[in-house]
Amino acid sequence: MSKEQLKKHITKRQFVTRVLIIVCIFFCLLYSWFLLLNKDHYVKLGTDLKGGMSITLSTQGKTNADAINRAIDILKQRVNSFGVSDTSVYKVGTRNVVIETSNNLSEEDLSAITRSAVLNFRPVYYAYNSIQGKPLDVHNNQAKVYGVNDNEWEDYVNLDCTKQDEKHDNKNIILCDNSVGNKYLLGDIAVRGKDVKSSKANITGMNGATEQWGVSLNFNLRGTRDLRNVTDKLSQTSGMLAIVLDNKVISAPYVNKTINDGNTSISGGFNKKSAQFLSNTLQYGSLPVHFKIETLNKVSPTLSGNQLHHILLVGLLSLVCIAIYGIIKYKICGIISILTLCISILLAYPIFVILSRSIDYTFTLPGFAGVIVAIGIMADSFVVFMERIKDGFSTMEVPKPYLIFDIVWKSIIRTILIADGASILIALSLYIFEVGDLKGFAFNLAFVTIIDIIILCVVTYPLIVLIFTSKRINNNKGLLKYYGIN
Amino acid sequence: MNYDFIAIRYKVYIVSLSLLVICLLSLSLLKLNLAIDFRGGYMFDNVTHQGLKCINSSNKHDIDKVHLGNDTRIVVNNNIPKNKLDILKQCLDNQYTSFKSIGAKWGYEILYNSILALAIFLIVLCVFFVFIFDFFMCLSAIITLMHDMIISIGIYHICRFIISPATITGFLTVLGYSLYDTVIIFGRIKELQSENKDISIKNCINDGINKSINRSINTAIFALIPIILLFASSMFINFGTVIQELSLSLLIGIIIGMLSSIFLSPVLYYTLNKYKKVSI
Repeated sequence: MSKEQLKKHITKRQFVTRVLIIVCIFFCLLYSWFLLLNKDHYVKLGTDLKGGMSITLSTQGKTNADAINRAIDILKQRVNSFGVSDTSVYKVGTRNVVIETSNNLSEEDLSAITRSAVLNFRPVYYAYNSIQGKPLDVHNNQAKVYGVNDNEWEDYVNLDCTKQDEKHDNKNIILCDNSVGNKYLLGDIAVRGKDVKSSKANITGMNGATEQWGVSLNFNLRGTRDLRNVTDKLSQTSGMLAIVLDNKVISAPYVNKTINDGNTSISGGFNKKSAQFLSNTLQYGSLPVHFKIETLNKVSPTLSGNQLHHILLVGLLSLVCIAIYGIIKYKICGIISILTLCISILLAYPIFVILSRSIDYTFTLPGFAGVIVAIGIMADSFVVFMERIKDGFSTMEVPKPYLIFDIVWKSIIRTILIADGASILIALSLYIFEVGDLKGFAFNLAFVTIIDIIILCVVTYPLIVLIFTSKRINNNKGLLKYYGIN
Repeated sequence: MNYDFIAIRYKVYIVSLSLLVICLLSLSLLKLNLAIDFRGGYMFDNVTHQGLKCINSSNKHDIDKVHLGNDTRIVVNNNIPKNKLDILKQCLDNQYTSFKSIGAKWGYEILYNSILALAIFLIVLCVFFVFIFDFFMCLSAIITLMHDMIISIGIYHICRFIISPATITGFLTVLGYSLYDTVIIFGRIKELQSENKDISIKNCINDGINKSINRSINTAIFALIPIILLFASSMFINFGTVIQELSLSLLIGIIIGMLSSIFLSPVLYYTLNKYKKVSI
């Protein structure tokens, strides 16, 4: 051993010892902060692991990110108005929204929550009842009076309500109400629902023993003016004013007098719940996008509890199996691989908890699978490490074991960085574009792989350097076989 | 260990080409066994005996029953008439532990996004690879990737396993993994090239494979341990379909990825590299 080499060897030992001490201090600090100062010690679980419901909505037609974000706010308010606790609403991908809740919502509630709730008042130009086989409006064919052109009129006549519910022609709109057999030709929007200042659900009358519910509306200045204008015009001919909610005609009363004060009420087919909900929705505003329910997942808490235990058990079992194989294969160095695996998981866990609190990140079943698969990948980088050292010993004349790192370390870190880089790359692109349940899988896989690279540099490398620079091994190369090198 | 991989390259090409042809043929001839996510429908998990009895007495024809361990899952297609679905829902009211309903186009939305992810991944990868290795290594790595994917999906398809969004995610993950193996072998070849300028490309590739083969097999074993455990546990425990489909596709993909990274991609690089010399 030349003097210069010896000096280098001692400085390297000192260096890695310092690195290990810093890592130890960091871990102590992290865990004392995590256990003592943090109230939450558990990651948030997805509905598949704690029970509850998750609904994926997809937007229909053209939309933009801004509209979806506004829609998410409104959806949150609507879900909260049901008194549902522990709910999260978030965007997935570019055009999907997920609602997660630990309570169960009925199908009726769901369709109420996800409806756009666009309320408009439109003048009725013409209405025909297919059951009675005659026009509703006493004033025959108002359409011509209002300047409906021939094309539009033809569209109206030709529209078959059994096949198609609605048709938009410029500003005019044709709507079918199949429950009573009406086909409406409606004019442009006269009063807008967003001009409603306040609304209230109330009982409007009795139909036998059942209560008839309605919603009374109070408009703002612009709404009041619009309502006055349209009722003024319609009352001259006793025309009808259609109240349209989400392109469905709720009711179309005859207008006999001008409404000046901006107060009106709507009724027709409401029960207590739907009237109250409409009144709430009008105050939160309508959704700027149309949603369709794509998937609905309902999981009971007992099943999910079992699944959590089982997946944790599978994870533990994989760790044990890898440990056994690692120790058989790499003897003492195998113990280091287990140690580093455990340290990686210990480092990842508090970060997951912080993430789940700060960005609402939830752990799902596929998420756990991602971590378990990543355990295999972490063990892999250790194998790359060890096999390269073995290879170095077998192909090159290494006078003393501690010199091996001068030869192979660069190649090891380069290979692992590229290889892990490829894994992270695919996991990240999956995470960015995935819209289904598997987002958690991709995220955890990428995340744990990143942790693996860090741990490899600051824990695995120093530990292995300490072993191979120890006096015992360097004085007796025969000991190497206990470290998995042969 | 010293085995001449270059010498057997034509055998390797014949095997992988015939596998490719078989897989492509079966993909084009046989109908895909698509999961409910691509058809749309309803799924009830852990249905009780009482619920099953009720269904058996009302309508057996519109449903599929799947047994998972001790549990029974009921799958109903989207095109079931509404009145029959209502009867079914009445039967199963509170007789199950988890329920899933899926729109008909949902699976395709996921598929579309996965393909987008794949495309972006391949583009970034090309840049990454050309930067680190050389163009021909990049080309052979990508050809191998495609080859792996087609063969894994083909095997999946021939065995009539169900193709679901989880399966697709599994395959995409395997791409990263099979690349991991290829990268390590190419890295080794590159190192040998720079260590010894006089070494012929043939010896260099052979040495590279021989020196990495131990590692390739060991990493595959390490990676497969948790995946086999996941798959085995999903046979006995009802984790829902996702875990089973994910682990099965990972299992098949990793084995194929390991084989092709040892036998195919380095020799493909050799062949392509020869072509380079001719063209210059």
